[in-house]
Formats: sequence, C-alpha cells, structure tokens
Amino acid sequence: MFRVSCLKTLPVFLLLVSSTLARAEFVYDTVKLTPQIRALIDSDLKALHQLKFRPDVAPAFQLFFKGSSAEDIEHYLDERIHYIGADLDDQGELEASSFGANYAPSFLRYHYRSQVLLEKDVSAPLLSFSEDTIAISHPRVGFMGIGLAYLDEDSTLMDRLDTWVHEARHSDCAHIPSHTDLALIVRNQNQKVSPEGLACTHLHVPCQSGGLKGELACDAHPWGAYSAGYLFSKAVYQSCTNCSQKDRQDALASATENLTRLTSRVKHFMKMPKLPAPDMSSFDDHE
Amino acid sequence: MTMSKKIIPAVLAVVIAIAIYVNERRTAAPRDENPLAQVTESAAISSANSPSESKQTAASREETADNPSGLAFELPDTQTYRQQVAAHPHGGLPPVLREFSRKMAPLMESAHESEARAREIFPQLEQCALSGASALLQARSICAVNALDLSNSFPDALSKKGRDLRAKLPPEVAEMVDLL
Repeated sequence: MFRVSCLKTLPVFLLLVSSTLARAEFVYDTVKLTPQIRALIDSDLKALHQLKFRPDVAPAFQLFFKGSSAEDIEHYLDERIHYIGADLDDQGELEASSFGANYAPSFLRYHYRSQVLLEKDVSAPLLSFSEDTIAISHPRVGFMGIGLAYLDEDSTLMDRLDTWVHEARHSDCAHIPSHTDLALIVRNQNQKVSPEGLACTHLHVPCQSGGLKGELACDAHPWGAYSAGYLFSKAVYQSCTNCSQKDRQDALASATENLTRLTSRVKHFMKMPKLPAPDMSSFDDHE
Repeated sequence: MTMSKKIIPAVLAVVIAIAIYVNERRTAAPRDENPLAQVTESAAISSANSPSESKQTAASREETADNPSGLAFELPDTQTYRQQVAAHPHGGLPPVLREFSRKMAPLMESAHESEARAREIFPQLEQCALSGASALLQARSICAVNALDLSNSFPDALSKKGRDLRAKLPPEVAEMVDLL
C-alpha cells in the first residue's frame, strides 16, 4: 500500500521540484531597481514558465532554443543573463525610454584596447550594481539594465518577454571579431562590419530604409537579436496552446515588428527550407 | 465494482452528448446573441447565401474623418509609427502598434466564435491587408495573417477567399506572411 502511494506521489513531487528549478532566476540590483520593477519581472518570468507550446513549433525556433518548450527558453535566458540592474540616463536616473539593454557589447571596446591596441592599465567596464560593481570582462557576464519603460502600463507581457529573449542574445559571442572588424566597431561603423564580426554580441546596424532609416536598430546577420525575438513571438502566435487571443495578437505584433528590423538578406535566409543551425556558443567554449 | 464499470461509460456518454449539443448550439447562435457583436456592429455583412455577400454598404461602416476607410478598426499610418519609433528606438513596440494589436484581439476572438462571424470579419481584414503603402506594413501584415488564419479555421466558407487574398497581397506583405 505504501509502495503504491510512493510511486504515485514521486512523479508529482519531481515535477514540482523541476518546475521550480527550471524557472529563470537572476540577481537583482536591490538599490536601483524598485520593488515594483522586480515584482513585474518576477511576474513576467512566471508567465514565461507557464507557456505551453505545441510540439510541432517551427523548426527555426527549435534550432535556436534547442527545444520546443518554455523550459528551453528559460535555459537560454539562464545561460545569458545573470544580473538585472538599472539602465541609467546621464542624470543617473532610470532611462525613461528604455525597456532594457544588455551591456555585453561594451566588452568589445575593452577587448580592442587591451588585446589589439595593447593599452596598459585598461580595465573592463564597471557597472554599479547594488552596493558593488560588475565588470563586463566577458559578454556572458550577462548584465541587463532595465529602464523605466518596462513599467509602462501600456506595455504588454509579450513585448516584455520578447525583449528578454532579444537582449539575452547580445550575451553571445562565438568568435572574437577580427582586428579590422573591432576597429570598425569602436568607430561606430557597424554597417561595414562583417556578419561574423557582428555576431559577437550580435550588434545592430543602421536601418537602410523605412521608419528607422539611419537608426542603429536593424540586424544584417542571421540569428541575431531581432531574429531571436521574432522566433519567440512567432512561436507564441502560432504554437502557444494556453495563450489568450490578446497574448497571441500582441506576439504577432512583436513578430512583425522584429521582421521589419531584419535586412532583406536575413529575411531571405530565414525562408530557407533547411536552415543551418545557429552558433549559440561562447568563445570560451572553443578554447 | 461491476455496477461502477457499467455506470462510468454511461456517464461519459451523457457528458459527451451534452458537450456536442452545447457546441452545436453555440455555432448556430444567431448574431444578435453574440455578446461581442458590437465589436463589428458597424460592419454588418449580409448572410452567406446572399449574392451581395462580398459587398459592404457605406451605411454599415464607421466612416469618420479619423477613419476614412470605414473599417471597424483604425489603421496605423507609417508617419505616426516613424515619429514614435524615432523617439524611442529601443522602447519596445511603439504605441500605435500596441493599440492596433489591442483592437485586433477582441475582433479575432469574435471571428473565431463561428463561421458566420468569420465571414463577417474576413472582408475587414482583407481590406486592411490590401490597404496602400501609407498604412503601416506591420498592420497590413497582421491583418493578412489573421485573415489567412480564419480561412484555415473555416475552410468551407473561406478557403477560396483566403487563396484569392494570398494571390493579391502586395510583395512586401506577402514576404511578411511567408515568414509568419
């Protein structure tokens, strides 16, 4: 009798434990981030955890997140974001117009100065965090600064989750860019950087046309940050089994917006019938 | 034990029968009983058997100075989008697109209620999808995707209309649809 009860409760217990462990968890700046922001982020991550997808979610999604479930998205976030701090303006206040920003790209300037120019006494960018500082000595340090726009009551859950997926991608750098590319990056000439160079922290390029022409808000290489958001939002619209119509339409809006940030070349790439897998590794993995 | 083996299947059969009955009642519900009817009340379209099914009279639309297209929802324009995104290029969805999505949700909720509702709403989405380039590409694409989704959900009524729409989409909208 006891053995039968144990067999029945053990799977339930394991499911509860694993569902708790699988949830993405970060370290918050408890000084600059208000309890309100932290509570909203917790709520958003809980909602992410509860998303259910059909097993036949798009192959590109499965290639990118290495699976077809919310747990896979959480794992993707866990690998890339560790610290949630504040995105501050010049006055040291929360940046009003920002949802959030990954500070990983600041690693590139540091790397160029220390490893290419061989400057002495150059240190990794330091960011204030709680009572301490965090050094962006590697893209996978995973510092995400949250702005005031995250709290905008008109923002949607799907838009915020899309932002998490987008920003997390900036923590990836499979290969350090060439010296030529690094020199272009530090001179803010991203439009001249090779696709391989852009893929280190998945830099944006100036948009060539449309409403954002000239803004550093487009992707010219495959599997970048806007592609990440597109894949997530598209999957919610197409394959979420427990999403409301509101969530699905919000996700569809995010997916279309992300698509407009991809160059024609990247959109053409995403239409390939058999996509080559993205490189989701970090340059340390290759050492 | 023997009694419960007989009762359980019988109870299940009754439950399934009730569910089928309720579902048939719901899909056959006249338009007036649909609590979401007021969402597209202004876009009343004649019934499936009417020869003028595809035409909308001007009186059935919400034609206003702000909404000259007469659609039940307002199409965001590219100019407004540009202004909003230029102000906050990394601030998530611009308000004009959020607002459009907010209007689309109850419309699509209603459209999926029944074939009759889907038939009523499809032309709205079609018109939106085929709007000129001054209407935001994202909005036109959202309309196209939702229209095609409806045609898949109600193939008996809308599959031909879906195919026709797909063939008429401008290239930039068709490209978005292909990727969505």
